Amino acid sequence: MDDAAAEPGVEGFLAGLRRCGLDPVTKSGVVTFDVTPCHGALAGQRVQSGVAVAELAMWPAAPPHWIHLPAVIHLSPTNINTEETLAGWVRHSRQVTGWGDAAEPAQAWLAHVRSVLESAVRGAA
Amino acid sequence: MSRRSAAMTADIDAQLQTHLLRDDGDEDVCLATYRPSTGSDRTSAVLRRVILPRDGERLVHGNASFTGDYLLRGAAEAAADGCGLAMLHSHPGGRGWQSMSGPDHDAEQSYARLAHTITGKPLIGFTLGGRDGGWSMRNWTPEGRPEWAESVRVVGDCLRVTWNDRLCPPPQLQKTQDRTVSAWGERIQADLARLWFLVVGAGSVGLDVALRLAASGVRHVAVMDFDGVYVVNLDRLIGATRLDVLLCRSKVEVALRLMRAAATAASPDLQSLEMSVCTSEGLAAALDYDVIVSCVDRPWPRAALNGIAYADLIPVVDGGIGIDAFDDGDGMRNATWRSHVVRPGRPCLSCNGQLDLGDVQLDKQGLLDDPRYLAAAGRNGQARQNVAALSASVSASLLAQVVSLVAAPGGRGEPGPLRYTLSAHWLEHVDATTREGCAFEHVTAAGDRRHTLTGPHAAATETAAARAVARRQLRVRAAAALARLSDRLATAARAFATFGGL
Repeated sequence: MDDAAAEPGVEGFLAGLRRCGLDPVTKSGVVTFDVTPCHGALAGQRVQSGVAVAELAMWPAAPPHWIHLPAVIHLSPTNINTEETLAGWVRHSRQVTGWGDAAEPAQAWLAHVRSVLESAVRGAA
Repeated sequence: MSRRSAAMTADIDAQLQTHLLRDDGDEDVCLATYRPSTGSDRTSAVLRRVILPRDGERLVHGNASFTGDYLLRGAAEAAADGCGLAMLHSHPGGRGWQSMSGPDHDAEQSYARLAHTITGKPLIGFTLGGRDGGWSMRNWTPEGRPEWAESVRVVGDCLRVTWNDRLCPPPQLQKTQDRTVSAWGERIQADLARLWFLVVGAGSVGLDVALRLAASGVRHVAVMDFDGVYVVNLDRLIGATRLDVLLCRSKVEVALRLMRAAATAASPDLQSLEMSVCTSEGLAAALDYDVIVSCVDRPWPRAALNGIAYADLIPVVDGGIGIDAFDDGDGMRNATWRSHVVRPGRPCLSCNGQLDLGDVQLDKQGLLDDPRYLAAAGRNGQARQNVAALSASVSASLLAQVVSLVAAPGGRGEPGPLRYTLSAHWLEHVDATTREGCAFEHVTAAGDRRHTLTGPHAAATETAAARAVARRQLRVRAAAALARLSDRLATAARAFATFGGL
């Protein structure tokens, strides 16, 4: 039996990303980190990504919903807005599916972001 | 904090019984770790791991005793896991709640301060009665004073509770309960009646469940809901009236009134909790109960309840209905309802496909009620279809799970997830299994180190505020005054009739 609360919330998210070899930064209420998609127009390119700290209070039991990306990264249109985002960023509504059975939840989140970025293109802000 | 209890899984219980009940009939001892599970008015010690003695760590001599080395090892292992220490021993010839002999008392008392110093948590002591597998538990203050628990719960296919009859005496049977007791006997009635039931969600299903529990003689029943009674609820909230809508009453106010009328216990303890289980206050209140019946359909509260089913070993009986209407609004294609007990050893709500954890944030942020968001996302909102004639089937299914869990008809406990399909008239077991990495099953018995699934609940706060504003309207206040007068006249009429021997 494990502990849920050994690393809950934003601290757990940051620790998980570090275990995955990333170097996350928290600024203005958003955790940012680089992701490199494996497929799509941005394959092999490092893309900045972010998650609002406010959405990490229930991490890892309930995942964030919004993926924050620089405005130059374009995804197929759905709910997007600039609430709680960094200047020059937008957040995209993207539901993660099948959550709740990953040994490393941060790894599962990165996989989700990578899969979302498969359909992304870089354009004008 | 006035109430104390303890809980363990059936697996831990089996492990302990295997060790403590010896073939030679002697007593035996062992240690275990526990986590506190802290409610509003009850603290439960949730057993987490058994620490069996190594060679030479305990002495068996008819009676049995711990060595200091064993206690020190156990306390160190407990502290390393953020746990408290439990000392356990058996009374092979004992039955039910056991008191302590002088040597039992002295042994536990002598280690109370040491265990508290090392773990930072009170030492707790357990006694196992060998004749019926009953447990008793006390909590030791650092000063060496025992504080008895009211119950010890073993959570498996059945919920097996050993009661401290001194703190929770079996309720006196009532004439009104004659038919109920004849169905399962006085022992089961005494167990059922003493359980603390919480019904989360006081809609059509939750209200029905709460009333039937109260009518069955359960003494402690609470309903939790933050919502009010509206006109659109009246076709399903049986017993709610247009006056309740006019007076801006909450669902739990109505449920409390109806429960009071239905209750058959001699001194019922019925509570209305106008809050959300998604808040820290609501979750703490939920931890005071032995069984929770989940009658909510939102992802966030179901996630919160899913969490405490495992971390705090409180079985959650959950279910719901899905009605599939034709898109043109002319007819019903099908309806299905499901019920399941969520507990260690059974798939959690996420594993059995009843909860999408990705929806929890959406629910928390109010987006599942935002038409613009839903339209852009290409998804439907919460299902609106509901029918009083069918919600009774959901409550029946939930209550059957409750009875199976508590009364174990035929010696069999709760059946696992069930699904009824109305169009095919087909009841089936749902083939759902726990995912290998289930985040909830993995934190079984985490206690207060459970997943964080609570937070500020904007909708609950806004709903309560709006209701308070509405109740201040002159029209509503005047109607409320008349309703109170009417209630007083009805009470007086009843008293008059009773006095007159009617």
